[in-house]
Amino acid sequence: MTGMAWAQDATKVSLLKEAKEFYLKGKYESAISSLESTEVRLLNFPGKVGEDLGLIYYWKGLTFKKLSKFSDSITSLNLSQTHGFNPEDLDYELAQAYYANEKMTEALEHFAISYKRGFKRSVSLYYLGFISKELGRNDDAITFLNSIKKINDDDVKDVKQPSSALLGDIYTAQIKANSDEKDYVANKVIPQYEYALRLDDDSELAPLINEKINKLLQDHKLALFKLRNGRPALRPQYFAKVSQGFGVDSNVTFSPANTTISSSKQSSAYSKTDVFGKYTFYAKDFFSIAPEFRFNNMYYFHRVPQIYRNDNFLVSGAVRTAYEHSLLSKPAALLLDFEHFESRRDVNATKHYDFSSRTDGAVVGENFQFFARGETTFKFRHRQLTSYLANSNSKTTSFVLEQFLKFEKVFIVFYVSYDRTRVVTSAFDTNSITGRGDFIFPELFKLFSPSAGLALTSTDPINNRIGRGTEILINPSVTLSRSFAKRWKTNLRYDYQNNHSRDKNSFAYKKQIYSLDLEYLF
Amino acid sequence: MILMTLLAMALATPVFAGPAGVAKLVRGTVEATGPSGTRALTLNGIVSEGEVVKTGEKSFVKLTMNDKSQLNIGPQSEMKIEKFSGNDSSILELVRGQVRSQVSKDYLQIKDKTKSKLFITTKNAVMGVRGTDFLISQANDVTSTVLFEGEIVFNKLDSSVLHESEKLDAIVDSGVRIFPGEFSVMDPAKSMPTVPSLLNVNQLEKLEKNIEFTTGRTPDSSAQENTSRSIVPPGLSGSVIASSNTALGAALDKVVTPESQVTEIKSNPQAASGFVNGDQIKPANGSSLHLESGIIISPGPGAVFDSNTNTFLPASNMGLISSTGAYLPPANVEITPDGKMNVIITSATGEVVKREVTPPAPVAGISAPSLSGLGGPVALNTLSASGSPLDLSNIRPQVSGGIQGINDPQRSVIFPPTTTSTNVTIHVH
Repeated sequence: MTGMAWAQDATKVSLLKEAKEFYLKGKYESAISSLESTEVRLLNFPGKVGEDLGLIYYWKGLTFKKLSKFSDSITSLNLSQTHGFNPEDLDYELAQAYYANEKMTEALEHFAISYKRGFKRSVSLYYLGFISKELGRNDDAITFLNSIKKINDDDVKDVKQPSSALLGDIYTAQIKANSDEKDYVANKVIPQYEYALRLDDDSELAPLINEKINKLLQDHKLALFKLRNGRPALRPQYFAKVSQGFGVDSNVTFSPANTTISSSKQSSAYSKTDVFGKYTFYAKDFFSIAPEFRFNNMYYFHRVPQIYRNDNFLVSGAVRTAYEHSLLSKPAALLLDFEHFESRRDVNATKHYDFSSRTDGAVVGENFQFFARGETTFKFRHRQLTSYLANSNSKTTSFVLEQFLKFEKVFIVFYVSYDRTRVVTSAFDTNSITGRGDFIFPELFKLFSPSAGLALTSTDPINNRIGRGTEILINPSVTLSRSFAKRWKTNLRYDYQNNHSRDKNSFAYKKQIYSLDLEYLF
Repeated sequence: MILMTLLAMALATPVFAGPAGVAKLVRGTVEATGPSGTRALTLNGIVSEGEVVKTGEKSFVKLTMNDKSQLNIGPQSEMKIEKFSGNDSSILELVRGQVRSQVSKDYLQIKDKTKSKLFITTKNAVMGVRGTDFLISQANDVTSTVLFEGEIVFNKLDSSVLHESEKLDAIVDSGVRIFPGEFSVMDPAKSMPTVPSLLNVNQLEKLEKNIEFTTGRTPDSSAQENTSRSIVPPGLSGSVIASSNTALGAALDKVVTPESQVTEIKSNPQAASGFVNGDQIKPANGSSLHLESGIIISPGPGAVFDSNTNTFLPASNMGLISSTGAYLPPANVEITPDGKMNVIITSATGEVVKREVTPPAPVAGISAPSLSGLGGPVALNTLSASGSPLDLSNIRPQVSGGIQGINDPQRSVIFPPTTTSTNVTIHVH
């Protein structure tokens, strides 16, 4: 029989069809049986069938690989080449089988050929780099891995980060060989990992790279990781965010100096812009100092004087310090904070921002862990407010208790404060108690995290009890938050306030606020 | 011939119920228990509604039911024939062990095509059979099922539910639908079965062939090599190193007729990688199934993505598949009969210690744990809804309007109180 006869052989076609069906269904053992039957038929066929036999061996080689039978795969793929069937991926497939079979020299040789043949070049280079590293040929490995940056094939986007991280591993292995280990880690190894991380800080590999960076920082004492009481130091040490929100306030209220509340009885849409930044410095492992800054702007779209005089700018700064120690054998911190706020508003309804108020404050507190589920903070706070109306200048002294509780599916925050405010015009002196509870469900729903809160404030106008009575402010709120694209977050919020007061004109009011804001967290 | 068989069945049938099937192949010890007592079930022995069929170690029985369906009961199994009329939906209860069923296509003649033709219940799961060839296993209260042909629906079953066709139909209707090549597991600790996933193709092929429950548990001479390393080098994913069938397809075009061209199915490595979202678990395509315990074994970090089948092909460091389709863990891992996974560690002093570990989440990827690499204290089932560990240390409270930051160190600026309201927002990253 001739090669032409073989090409028209019905049994061969039937066997190949069967093999193909098994192969595509993942029935690889059955596919091997069909291919072996074809091979036997071919071997018994007189005439020239070399290349077809090569195809069968090639196919068997691929199928054995899928069954992790690498020795058989190597034999078959080599036979494919011997019989003149040598497709562009053959060396790549052969090299992988050698690699899996721990035959590294042969694997290197065939990956090099695969690279030269232009098949999966970036992946071939990665294998070359990885195998060279395993064989202790670090210089070769570095050359191969660095070459990946210059490749422009389909796979390179998936190979660049692993190859950069692998270079970091090679540098890590060379740390001991350097006279100044700390300098080498800080200027060579970590920057290499950081470069790898920057390529895709959202990848599956990113947490592993981060872990390596942190380990190096810790092992070589390049960063503070734990405070002396066991509390972890912040990483990163900064926190910054920008947010832009829009909302509708059903009854815009004006509180120029915390003494009177005049409700406009008019609704308005508003825009709120907020910028916040903070950086925590550590002085050894027991003291931290954190300057922070905030800029805030409110703009009301309803341009009538009762409304737009609420437009305001706020700039504030604070320095917060913490002296870390232990209490009840658990981490604790003594807090001392200094705060300054400067507010400018259109207080005179002239469409200009004028000085509204300035507040200076100091806080002394203690943060400790009484409950296993969360931290407790006590604070004593004193604030002095200077208003654009001299009669409204005031001093407020507060005692605050905050309790954070962390459960499996909910975080609960309790807040209680007693505030004693004394105003130049003593008729506005007040003592008030505020209680608030917030329930935050970070993972209750897949699409968003809900939270709900209720605040109750009882205000005693000590010198005007007849006119105002004891006021009660009820303030429930609901928020739905959703994070997306890693650093973005959006919050949809509803807030209701109802202040009960005997003075219906100046102090009693009701309002609802709907808002939607978008945050970017750095 | 048919008349004779029916006559034989009628004569041998116990008086309390109608005949359901006949034993066509018996290996080892097989018993049938009914109200009249227990008897050995031998070749051509009749089984009836209400009877319980039990098999001993290395034993097996093949029952041909009166609707021509075939039920193969594996070793150390116990199955009750609750109802088997042939005209209406039938109900079987698998108390323990494994059953392989090749359901007759006569079932398709039942009038209501949307109803299940056969229900198999276990202690905590129910399966509605609308297809032909499947395997169901019950061990340690975990029910696993693998489908070879047709379609089945599978759901959790409350033990208080009466075994009535309509009630069972309502339950399976809201369950997961399993297609050929897929498996699902109902763990009693979960509220729902796993999302159906494609089984390790090597295990699937061998299980499909092992109709008669051959019990060999060692890798045969042709089994994959367990001395090799994974083909995937650390750092790369199993999809990026895989090559396509382009060269093979082009070569085949030249030697076989056009209709035999190799075409690839739509493959998606990301979707095939699986996820864990609370009780909702979608194992990676290519996961293996330890049928004796219901433990799902991830394809592991060294798995290669196979575009032919849209599954990951596990590396040998995740264990092997025996010639009979049984999953065999790596040498350092032991799965006990009561469904616990132990890692065997040899200390520096040579002391061998067994440590119980939580089976790793059955998802694929670079960071998926390798079984042969287990050896330290592991807590691998900590994936959150997003699939990544929830790090509570990253919770950043940011508070405005009167409450200062909670849980220092992210305390933030306090607004001068424009009203007395207090708002709290907490950012979870």
